[in-house]
Amino acid sequence: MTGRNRVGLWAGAMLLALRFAEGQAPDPEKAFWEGDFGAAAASFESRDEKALSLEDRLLWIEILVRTGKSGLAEEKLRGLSAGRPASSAIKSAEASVHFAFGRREEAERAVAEALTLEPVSDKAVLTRICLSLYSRDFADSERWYKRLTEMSPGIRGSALIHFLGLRIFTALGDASALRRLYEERSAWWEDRDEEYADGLKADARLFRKAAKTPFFSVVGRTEEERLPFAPAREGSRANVIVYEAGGSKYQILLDTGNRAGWTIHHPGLLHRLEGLQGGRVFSEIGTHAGLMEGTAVFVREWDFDKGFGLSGLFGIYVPKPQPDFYDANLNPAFIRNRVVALDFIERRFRLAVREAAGSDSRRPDADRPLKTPWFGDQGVYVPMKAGGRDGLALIETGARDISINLDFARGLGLPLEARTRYLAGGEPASYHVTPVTIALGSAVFERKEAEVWPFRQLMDPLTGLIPDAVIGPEALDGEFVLTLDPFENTVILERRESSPAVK
Amino acid sequence: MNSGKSRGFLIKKSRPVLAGELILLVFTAFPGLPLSASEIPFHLTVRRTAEGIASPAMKMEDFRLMIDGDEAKILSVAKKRRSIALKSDLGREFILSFKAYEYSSAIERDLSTFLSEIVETSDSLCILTPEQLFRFDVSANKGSLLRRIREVLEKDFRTFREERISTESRLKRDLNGAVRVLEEDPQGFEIYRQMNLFLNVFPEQFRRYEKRFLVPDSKRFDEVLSKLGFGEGERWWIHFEEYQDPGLSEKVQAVIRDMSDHIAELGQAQQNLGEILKTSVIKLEESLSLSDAFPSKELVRVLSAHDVVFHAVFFRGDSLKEAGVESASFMNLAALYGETAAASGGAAANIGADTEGIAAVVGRVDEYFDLTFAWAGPDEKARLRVLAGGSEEGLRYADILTRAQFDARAKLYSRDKIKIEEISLEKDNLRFAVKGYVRAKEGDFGLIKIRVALQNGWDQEIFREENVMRATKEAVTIRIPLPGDLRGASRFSITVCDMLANRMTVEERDCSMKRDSP
Repeated sequence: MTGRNRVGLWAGAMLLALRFAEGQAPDPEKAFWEGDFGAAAASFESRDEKALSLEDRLLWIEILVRTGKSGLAEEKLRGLSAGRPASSAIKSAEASVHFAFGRREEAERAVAEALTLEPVSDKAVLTRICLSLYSRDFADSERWYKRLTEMSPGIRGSALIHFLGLRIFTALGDASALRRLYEERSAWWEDRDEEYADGLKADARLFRKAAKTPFFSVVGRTEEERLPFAPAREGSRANVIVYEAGGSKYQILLDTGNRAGWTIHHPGLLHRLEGLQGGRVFSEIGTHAGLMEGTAVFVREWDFDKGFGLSGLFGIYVPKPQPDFYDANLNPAFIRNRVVALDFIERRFRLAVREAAGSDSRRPDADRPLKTPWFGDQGVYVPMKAGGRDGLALIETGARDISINLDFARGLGLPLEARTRYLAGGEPASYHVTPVTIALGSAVFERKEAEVWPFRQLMDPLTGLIPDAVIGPEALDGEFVLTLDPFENTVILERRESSPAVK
Repeated sequence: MNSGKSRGFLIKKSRPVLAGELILLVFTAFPGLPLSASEIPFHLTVRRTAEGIASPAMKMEDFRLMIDGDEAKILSVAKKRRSIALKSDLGREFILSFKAYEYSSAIERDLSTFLSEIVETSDSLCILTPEQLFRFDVSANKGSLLRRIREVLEKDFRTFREERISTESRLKRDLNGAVRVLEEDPQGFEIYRQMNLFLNVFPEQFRRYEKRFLVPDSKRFDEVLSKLGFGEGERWWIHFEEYQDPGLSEKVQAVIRDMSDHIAELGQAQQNLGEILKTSVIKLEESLSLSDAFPSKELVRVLSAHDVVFHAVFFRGDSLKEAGVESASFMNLAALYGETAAASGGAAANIGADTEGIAAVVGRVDEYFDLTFAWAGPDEKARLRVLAGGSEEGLRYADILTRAQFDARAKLYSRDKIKIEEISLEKDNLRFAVKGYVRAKEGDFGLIKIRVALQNGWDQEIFREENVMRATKEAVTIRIPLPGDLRGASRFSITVCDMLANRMTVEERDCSMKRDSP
């Protein structure tokens, strides 16, 4: 199974949204904006579909997309749009479905048509915001966000708008805007749940303290830093760097799948970095079942080594589920002011200023099988091909090797062989294996037994986007350099040899 | 893990070894234990101290054991070591006790480290607050666990603090009354009457206060450990003690001094009354003397009887951080806790500004001899004496064991447990059957950890294979292919742990690894 480390803010919102739904059948539109998609879907499932209005049926499609049922959503949409004139609402739902499947260009086209037909369509604007966010045009996503909150004041205080704001302002590194969001949300909760409101206040305080701290920024004058990967332990990932302080060695996993951006697991490291703690959060960690409890955390500045450091690390503190877990987890995709490279050939982590970024990629025998626009504000999604079909792969350095989404494997008609594995907590988990060949640009990965899992846990609840495949570090180890350029917003995969990687 | 194969282990349904298969020279290293129906193999932990003559190299023949003066036959002596920092095959039992008045940042830090870095989901965890005992399930969700523990500690520390404040104010009122009596300086029988009233009531109240707030209560330790029963896994007790001001001790001492002066000044006519008062004052003085009141020996005895390693961690509460000076009575208490810890195989440490007390104690390695003898237990209580090299100096062990303490162990050791049978070495394959493990009601599976290690003639490990498996049958036969190039005298050990019952069995054999010509 792929490793996962998702920020639990969303999960927290879900739990709270459930309270909103207690005791009464929720208004599906309201439940949608509160992020309570499960309750909204349940309310539709209990009704006669034929008796639903077109508006309700389109809302159901938006909800299905965000509950991991994009296939069903697409089927329903096909039935609805057939024989009907194009409307903004239909085009908007179409955009959502395309986005959930990772069909970026189709989603862009559909949302543009929807907004031409009706410039104040809240769902179309929502998809527009998400597209800009994923395309890393954060300023544009902020513009559309402001427009949405101005044109639809009724949804302004909703959970979905709140968490959308968190995503945008975290990407922009706007501590003041984040503080305001938390204060507003805290005020909303004050009379409903004092304890939760207090937690949000604590989060707001963190952002007040961070007012002038650049987020996820490298501090130091050097043009380039090269941090060696720690010697790989048996069964562990290569992409681990070591921070030494006070006689202790802390292992930091470089994990492009960490949606929180920064997670501390070791209480000693939390203390050493003078991490400030905020309110409670819940997150999914690795292959552990269920939500782990922790707190929001802010590290103002981390003097890593000899004048090199990182500033403005917002994230979460979650105690280790077991003692041999990594001490911290940093998502290099969150670093804003350096071109970062995970060099699986030389086994090192490289951070370079924009001007020095190209100096390391002039290997005489290097080629670049993939250079693509960077899609994803919190992760690294890249286009892929498998079985003659286009798809979207998530480069997830917190995972292991290559794995495939079950729906995608079924769509390709791949042969599936059932397997069982026991997760870290001892729970059995069923999955499949299949032979597959995946191409990222001209890099071809062939697997005789790639794992196949339902990827619903990798779904972004904001958009319903689920990757078709996950490319883990074992697929890159020894052969590739993964470069993430936040200035050009590009992802580059560079390799030494061009032979297909067969495992 | 798939159903048939598990990384190096081939699992089959149990079947006897076929006649005619090539079996290399294998012999049993330990004879079976000669136990009668009422006897159990009793394990006694014996530690060396610096003063004794016992050396780590001592063997079974160097030890003698006397039970109530009669010599008992020792069945085996094994040199062992344990540490919280060392991985344990079985789930461990942790008891964390706290004597504190506020949930301070020091506690939060050490508790976080303990939960995050030390405790595993296979371990069990008890928290003893000043008020009550809690048992927590250890899940991977350590953040939630920390919050739940924090909640009970905060609540009970608050109650404890309030109780201490109210007890002290009551005692202070009595003390001030005594001071007033001395200041008013009544004459004749009146001074006797008033001082005697105070001396009859106050010492008992003070003793209770002292036991509750100032010194450890060994009876409470025994109660807790008896309640938890006896398991096969390691048991660790970590006690957190907050630095405290001397409380009422100094004020009581001042009153005693004044009373003594007054008694000395009593005239010849009141000499008898003075003697009576003097005796009462001496008793009060004695109960104030921490070293006498602290039942260190008794506490060590309780811990040894339950085979628990005790660590002590001292820390300052947030409100006392700036105080600086430690009271003599607390330093005395800390020293005595340190002695107790050392005697039980543990350590004592302070939580400083940059140091975690827990980190300082978890690395402590407890080295001891595991002395086994067949025993039916005492009628009520037995006195044990162990001699090493003809001397009993410098040895620490549970020297007195009660019937209840014996029964707790007997309950465990008399129960059937996981077995290793049908061991054979066939060509390059080690084969054995594992039986008698507990199977979960739901799903009907057993969870077994199996480790096979091979040592050469120089005690160097030359092969190790370890795995955890789910077993759905009543018995499994394991076949482990050994490397084909092993030669010469070797010794192999098979360790099987029943993860659901938290019990283990080890079988060791000497063997000669040589390939017969085909």
